[in-house]
Amino acid sequence: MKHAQLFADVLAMRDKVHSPRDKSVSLALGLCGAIGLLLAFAGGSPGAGWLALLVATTMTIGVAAVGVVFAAIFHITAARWGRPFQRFAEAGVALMPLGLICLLALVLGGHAWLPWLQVDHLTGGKHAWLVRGFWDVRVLLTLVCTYALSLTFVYYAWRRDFCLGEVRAAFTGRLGAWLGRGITDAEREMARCTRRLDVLAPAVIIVYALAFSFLAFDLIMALEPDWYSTLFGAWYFISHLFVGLAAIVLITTVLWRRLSLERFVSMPRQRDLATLLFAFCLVHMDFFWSQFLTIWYAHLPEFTFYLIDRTLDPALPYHHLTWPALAAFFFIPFGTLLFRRVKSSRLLLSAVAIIAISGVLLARFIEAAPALLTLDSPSVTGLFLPLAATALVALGVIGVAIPLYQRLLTSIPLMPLSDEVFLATQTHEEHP
Amino acid sequence: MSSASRSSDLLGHFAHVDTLVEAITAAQANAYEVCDVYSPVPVEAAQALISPGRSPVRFVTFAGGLCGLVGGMGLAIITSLIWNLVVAGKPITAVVPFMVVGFEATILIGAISTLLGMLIFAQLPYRRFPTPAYRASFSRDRFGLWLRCAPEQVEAVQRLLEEAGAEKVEVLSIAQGGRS
Repeated sequence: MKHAQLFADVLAMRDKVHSPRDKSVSLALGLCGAIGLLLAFAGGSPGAGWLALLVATTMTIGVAAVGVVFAAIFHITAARWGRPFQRFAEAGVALMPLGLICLLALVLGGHAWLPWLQVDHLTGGKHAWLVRGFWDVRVLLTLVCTYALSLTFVYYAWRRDFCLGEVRAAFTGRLGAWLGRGITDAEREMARCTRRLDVLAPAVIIVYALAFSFLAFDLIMALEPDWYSTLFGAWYFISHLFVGLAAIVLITTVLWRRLSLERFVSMPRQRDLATLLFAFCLVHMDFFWSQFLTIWYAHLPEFTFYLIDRTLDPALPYHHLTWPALAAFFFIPFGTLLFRRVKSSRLLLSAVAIIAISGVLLARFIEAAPALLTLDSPSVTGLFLPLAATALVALGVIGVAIPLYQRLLTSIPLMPLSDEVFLATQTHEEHP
Repeated sequence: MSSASRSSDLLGHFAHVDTLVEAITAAQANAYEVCDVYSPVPVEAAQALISPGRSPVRFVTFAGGLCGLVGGMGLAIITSLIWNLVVAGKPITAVVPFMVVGFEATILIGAISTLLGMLIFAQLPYRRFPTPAYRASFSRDRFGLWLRCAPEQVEAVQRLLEEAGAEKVEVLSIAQGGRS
């Protein structure tokens, strides 16, 4: 068979996904999360618990969704370079149950943290939009619909692989049996899956952009019910794409040696991934600046207070975090990713990815904290507990996500074996 | 008498990238001079072998981008100082909006510098094109490797190219002093 060795190599990869240390790392991170939740809810800082949960939830639901968005982008653009990263991106769907549970907890506890419930008079027609019940259904339904579409996309992407007899024989678990059920005419089924993916790919991207714009309005922007910005949704979903790409960088670095990924990802391809991360760093900043510039120019009090509270006001401690956040999500990635040496080193690239993710996490904290926290003093030390709790809860989410993600990775082929574009890259691809 | 006047030129025709790359590697291992490589598509692996150094174009891009940033900011600042346009009590020289001009000029001048740097360092347009070794098929579906060696090495080079997978090997009759 033409690609027999390639198939054998890919199918053998699933046995190497786990490492003996994974369980202890996962447990340690999970423990951090538990401590974080305890600190946040019982640490004596009112609002810190819901803040930590909100920030962790927004990050989780975003990362769970953007992997499929990247897979859809790779599919539409027939990106040869992106094919080896596709499965690692798609497997982000493993975080969807976790994201939904976190969101459900936020919805159920809404009466305790939603600031607009305490506002008597909502301006700008928001009294019709910010209604408990309608808000609950809207956020849950938006996320469920987006996830359903993403799962449909990955179903067809993975089912196409399961049209191959070798794949069906290798993955006989429940997921494998479900993905490979009823395949009689493999070629016809593969063609059908490809046609479905052609239709679903643009839909996944459009629905993601719309849905996460609405989630941004409902989960973050509505925390300040008197403030609004039409660009806020775009800034939010772009920031998740940025974080998602940084997560793909991190995941491939962690799995690099275990899975011998150099067989599939050549150095130019790794640099392509780093260049895309650089591009998203710029786009992310562009959306931030577009929003900031218009507010700065118009100088209208109903818009400026939001920025002043978070970046300038000496009576509040948040301005201490502004520059570190900007440095982490823009200046450091921008300055370092200009250099080929950083793009060529997996270690340095991973460090940049971690800094970028931390920067976006910090930005989300700054966006949400002033509306949820009740602080006694403008001192930055007052922020220590909520910030530490948020960071710990985020680590806890990673701890829970690791086994879910790994379990999914062992249930599917780690490279898109039915994808002609991927197979073409493996036939004549350069591997210096 | 120069070394070029005592040399022979051979041209290998290849159907696949990997055989071309293999031939370049073998030729370099045997210290034969690689005069040129022809390909209808960019081949990073071949490029890395024939010019392993890093391109100096990046310095031109950086300088151009920096000039664009300074120029764009300077243009915005100087015109604002000459033609004061006070908007909503904002300072005359305000960094926030001028960053947009600075950013756009960085991209514009950086991109133009890259193009110019590439043309200069690649010595384009190459006025002596087509070279004696160029064949029309190298712009279609074949790859070419032009090697130079001493006359007594012709047979060995021919064998090397054939063993690497060349479909055809030509011994070129080139007026000495051709491009290398």
